[in-house]
Amino acid sequence: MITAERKPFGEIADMVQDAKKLLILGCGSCVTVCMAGGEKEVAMLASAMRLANRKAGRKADIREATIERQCDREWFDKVAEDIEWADAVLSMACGVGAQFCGEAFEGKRVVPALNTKFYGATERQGVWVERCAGCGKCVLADFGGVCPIARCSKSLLNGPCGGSQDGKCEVDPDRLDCGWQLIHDRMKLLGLLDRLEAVQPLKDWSAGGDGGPGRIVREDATL
Amino acid sequence: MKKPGKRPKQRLVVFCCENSAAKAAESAAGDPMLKGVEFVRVPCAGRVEIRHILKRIEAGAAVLALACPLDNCKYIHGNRRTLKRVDRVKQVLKDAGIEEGRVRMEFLSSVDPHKLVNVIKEAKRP
Repeated sequence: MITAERKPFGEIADMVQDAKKLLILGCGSCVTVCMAGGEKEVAMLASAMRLANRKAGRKADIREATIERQCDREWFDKVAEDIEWADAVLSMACGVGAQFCGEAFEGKRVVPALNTKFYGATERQGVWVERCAGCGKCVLADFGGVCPIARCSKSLLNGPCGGSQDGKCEVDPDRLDCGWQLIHDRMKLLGLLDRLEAVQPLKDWSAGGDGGPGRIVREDATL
Repeated sequence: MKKPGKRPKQRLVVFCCENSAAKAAESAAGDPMLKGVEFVRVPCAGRVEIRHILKRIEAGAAVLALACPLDNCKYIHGNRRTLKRVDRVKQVLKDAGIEEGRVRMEFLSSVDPHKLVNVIKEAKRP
């Protein structure tokens, strides 16, 4: 999933302080799972905004809504009226959803309530960890299913750096495992350790972040 | 002209776990301190979500969450979850410039009607 964290309340309040009619719009997908921008978080932020406005003597009408996804145009239909009504939309989706909402409703001011972080998984309840860097050319097969791009702090492809100590990464030994220790351990477990002796060529970064905004076209799916 | 008088009493909403506080409230029924208090019976304190508390505060009430003693929750972690949620609500209130005392949490068992009356008395204080 795409993970995110809510921006500090003060930053959000500053962004929308001039909106007399505000729609707080949640997203029912990734950011609901990582507890940043789903229905519950929308309700919490809306309550906080109303209480803060009341305290400051500001008058603003706040509506709440959550749609299935903000990265697909059709889900906006059921909140189109609310969006048209609002002076501003406070999107609690990831950066993709917040931008797409603005594209779907041209001329509408859409501001983000979240900071989008990474592609991650739920390690345990309340803890999300990065597992993919979206590099565009997956190399998991060569590394026992452990990604050297996302899990090595330096994205090294040919073994660990000198900062690997006792299985920990020098970037933050208390928090981070060495990605290459994980790769080594997994390859050993799979009986594939000898494959790590192969020298990996320079990575072709053009498949991912290079070359401007990405685009995928599936001809058989287009109309 | 309206005479300056006492501030109107703030309504108190008490979320009660049915395994402890709700039973204590039944035992304490009739105590004058419970007059005007809105009791919300929940299957476990862990059922009380942040939005439930904030909605009541938005409506002008103070909120007291009553859970079973720590390490004695029928559903294992319900009371600890609520404790963390109450802390989160306090942070939300702080952000919004509202006094954090509008929400409180206490732990008691079903045989603690006196404690229940006392914590309600405390929570009713402006």
